[in-house]
Amino acid sequence: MRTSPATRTAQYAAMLLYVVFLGFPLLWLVSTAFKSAPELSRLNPTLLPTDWTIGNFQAAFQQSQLLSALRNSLVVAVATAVITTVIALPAAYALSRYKSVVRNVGIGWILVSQVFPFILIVIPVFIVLRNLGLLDTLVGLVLVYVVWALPFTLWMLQGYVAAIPRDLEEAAATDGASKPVVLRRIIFPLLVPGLVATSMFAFISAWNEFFFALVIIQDPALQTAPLLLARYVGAEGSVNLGPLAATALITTLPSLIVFGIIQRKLVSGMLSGSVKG
Amino acid sequence: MVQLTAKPSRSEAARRRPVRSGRSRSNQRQMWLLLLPSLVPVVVFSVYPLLNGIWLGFTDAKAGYNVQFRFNGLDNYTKLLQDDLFWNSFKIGLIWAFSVTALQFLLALGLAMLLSAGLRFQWLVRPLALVPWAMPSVIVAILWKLVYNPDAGILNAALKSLHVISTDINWLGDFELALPAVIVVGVWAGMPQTTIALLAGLQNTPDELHEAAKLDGANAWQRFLAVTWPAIRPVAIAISSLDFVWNFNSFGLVYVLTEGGPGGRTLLPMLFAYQRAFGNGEFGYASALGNAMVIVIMLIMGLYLRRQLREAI
Amino acid sequence: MNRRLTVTVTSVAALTLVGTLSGCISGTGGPSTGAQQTSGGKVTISFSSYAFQDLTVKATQEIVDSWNAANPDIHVNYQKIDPNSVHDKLVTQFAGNSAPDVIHDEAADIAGFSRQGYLADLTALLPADLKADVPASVWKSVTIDNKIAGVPTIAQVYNLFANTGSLKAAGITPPTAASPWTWDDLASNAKKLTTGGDVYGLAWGLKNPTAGLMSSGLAFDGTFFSGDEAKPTISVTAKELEVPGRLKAMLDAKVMAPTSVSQGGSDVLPGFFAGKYGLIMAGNYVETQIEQKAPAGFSWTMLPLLKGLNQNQAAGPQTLSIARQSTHQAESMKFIAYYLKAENLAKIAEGDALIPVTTSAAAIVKKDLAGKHGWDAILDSGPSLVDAPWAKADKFPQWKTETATPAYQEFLAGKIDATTLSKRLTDGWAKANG
Repeated sequence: MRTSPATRTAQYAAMLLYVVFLGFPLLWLVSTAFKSAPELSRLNPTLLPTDWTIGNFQAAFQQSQLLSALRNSLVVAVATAVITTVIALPAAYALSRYKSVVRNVGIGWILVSQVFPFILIVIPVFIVLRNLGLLDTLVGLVLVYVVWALPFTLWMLQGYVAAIPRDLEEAAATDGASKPVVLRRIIFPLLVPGLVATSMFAFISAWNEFFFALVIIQDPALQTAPLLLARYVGAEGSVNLGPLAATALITTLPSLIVFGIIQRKLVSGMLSGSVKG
Repeated sequence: MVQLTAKPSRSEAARRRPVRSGRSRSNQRQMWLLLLPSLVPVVVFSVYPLLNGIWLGFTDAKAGYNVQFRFNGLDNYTKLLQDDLFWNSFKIGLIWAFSVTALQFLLALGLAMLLSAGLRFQWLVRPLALVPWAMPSVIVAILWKLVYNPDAGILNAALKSLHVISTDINWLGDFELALPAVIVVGVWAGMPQTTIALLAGLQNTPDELHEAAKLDGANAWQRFLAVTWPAIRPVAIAISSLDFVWNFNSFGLVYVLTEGGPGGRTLLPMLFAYQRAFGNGEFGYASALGNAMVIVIMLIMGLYLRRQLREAI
Repeated sequence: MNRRLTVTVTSVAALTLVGTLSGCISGTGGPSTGAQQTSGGKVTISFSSYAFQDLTVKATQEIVDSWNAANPDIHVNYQKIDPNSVHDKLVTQFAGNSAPDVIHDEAADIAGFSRQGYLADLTALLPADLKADVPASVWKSVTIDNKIAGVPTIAQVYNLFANTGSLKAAGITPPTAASPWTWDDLASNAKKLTTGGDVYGLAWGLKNPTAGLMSSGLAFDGTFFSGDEAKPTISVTAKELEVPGRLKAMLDAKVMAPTSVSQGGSDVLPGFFAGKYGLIMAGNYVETQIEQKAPAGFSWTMLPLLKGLNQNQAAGPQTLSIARQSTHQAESMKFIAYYLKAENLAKIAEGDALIPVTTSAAAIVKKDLAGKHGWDAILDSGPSLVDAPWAKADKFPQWKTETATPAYQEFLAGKIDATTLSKRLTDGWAKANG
């Protein structure tokens, strides 16, 4: 597709604005992580540190739990993303393609579960986990996160399925392909972008979740990264900013890098998918 | 198999179309099998707690050691209807949810279209677009508090150097500015998931159709309406409705930013429910508030989705 | 059939993943599994603490470690939690019957939990020497319905921090413990320190105004509540309006920074360090942050408590309580007594820059910090800490968040006048208490 140079310029300008609006905190976070404590309490902060220090990173790693918190968060987030995607895919197809009472009930549940204030769900969930002996375990946390991410995943996936013309399936079916073959060959490739998007959502919501982790996890060895981060915030919102920024940077960068890689893969995967479609 | 034998013998009319009814039964079975893996965890960890919560809304449940509570019908709701704070928080919640959702959607749509326009530097921009998402919410709130800080905030410093303002503005502490200020944060924090969802939708748009429309002499806006919008519509409806629900239920961000202040100007319904449930241990009353939220939101969603879905399918 | 196979495979895969996960976790789960269980006469008690300053966390860890070394039969499991989440986590744990044995909280919070029946009555468990080491007025602040709900540990006061350089430049001599500043002195000195531009004499981060304003109001005998402990009656008179009125006057006279009233307690520090505010009012825990964050060469001191009719403030100490659900209450109390031993509590207090409530620990802290940053006067303020009548009122937390905080915020922002403030506070209480 050709686009006029003027349009292109406008597009790049708009993109730059987006980058500034969405990305400036990363710059701020990097800069804060390398500033010393006195510099952080200065009025009129400078964009970049005037004298760079790695003291905050040393402080972050002295928190003996940083590495185990990162590992716990990674285990929980990956497990959540994988399980959610695996169980949501067939369910989303069913919800989208089979018109029945079940579909309405399913959509009703998705909405109610999102609308009902989650803080009122915390205590019943806590008691269920206790009765199952899953308090203070990462398995318990993963189960809660899977159910937590499912409504969004199902909702979005059924939307993506609905966007695939039925003709494609029916055409394949008249050609003699069986249902599973149709699903695998036709539907799945078209859903790849949607699956990536929703599994990223599941990953991130598990990676960042705080409240359930707070009440479910007691053992310091099982703490996730958000619990560790919260401990840098003291009474009346006073913050130990430097080490907090350093820790936040350490916990944020890996997911951003993963995103970058996934996005590049997504583009090529998407192309091959649409060729087949 | 069980279903087949359990069903009573069918009428003549049905027997004349055995293929059809057999297929619908097998469809039923297929559907349940597809649903099963999700169903189990959902029932245990979502449906049960939800029903429990909804039920509590009709009781006088309070926090306490071995406390017994009883069904009290609509008592909570009559109390709720007379509670100024409840009405006020609902009003703020609706303003907040509508503004954040609309702004989020428009900005995310713009970004998603830029990202699929084949520009350069995408490898850099795409992950950056996800920054608000990748940051733990603790950090997001602290960051924005620093941005809005009246003394040492980046925003006041920038506006002053541009001579837009001469004295420091107290963004989160001002009675009129606090709500708009938190709305901006809400838009920022929620943009990535909307962008990603729309981007995935856009990638289903066949390029050939764009080319064809272009050859027909359609301008950008006409092409958007004729080609892009129909393709992303189901996804757009799905994400905007979920965004609305999430925004109405938003809690952590505003709690850390303002705790509902100043003077209750940013007291979202969830903050109010949280104060009642966790602050006062009034689980029954708080759950009643939750039920009221469900009813109102479902009504709004019902109106929105009924129209949209009917047109879409 | 194929479909069924697919689904079966998917579910098996999911289950295997869960299984693998649980296997991997049970290997690293550590000692917390079965924390409440006894094995071979050995008892494990869990202890959750919201200590968050590095030094205090270190001191707490040292206390736990030395206890565990000396008491192999009673193992203490230290669980760290951030201060802002203590209440939420406890509400959930109590409701789910899985609270820690020893609970670190604060007086204002345990009144509710005690009334809800979640905390053990410590009266009979308390060792006599510990009881004698803490002033009676402080015990009163943790006694709910005649039950001791927690053992007080360290307490906070609201005091002024002064930029000594600014004081000198304005020709102001810092007050002494013997002749502290009155609120009138504060107003006149704040005026002297206000030199125009963005420089104000006083700043007070009053985003959460209620605790600070009510505690300071006790110096004018502004007690607000009287009568029944759980359901007192409110009376908002001139005494109660004294402190907010004086602050409003300083705001109107532009000697107090208007932006500060909506900031958090320590958000005013950058302005303080930059010389923008000559004086700041804050909880004395801010001392630690000033130590850590102040630029080199910044000279500062804490001033003795402000005087109204007296120097009273509310005693709202941090506390250690025992869960009623705990099956090891006696062992838990032994650990609490150990935590409050003079040298242990002194370490905790110095880490948090707060006042130890035991006479013995206060003596150690005073010796360690003599002459530093005005500490002496602050440590002597123990006797000024009185039992606040509101702390034990059932509906106080609700009234605080739903009525008092927004009403004070609106008053300080000039949205409502003193009469309306008084009416709002009174009506709000009637509604909450009704």
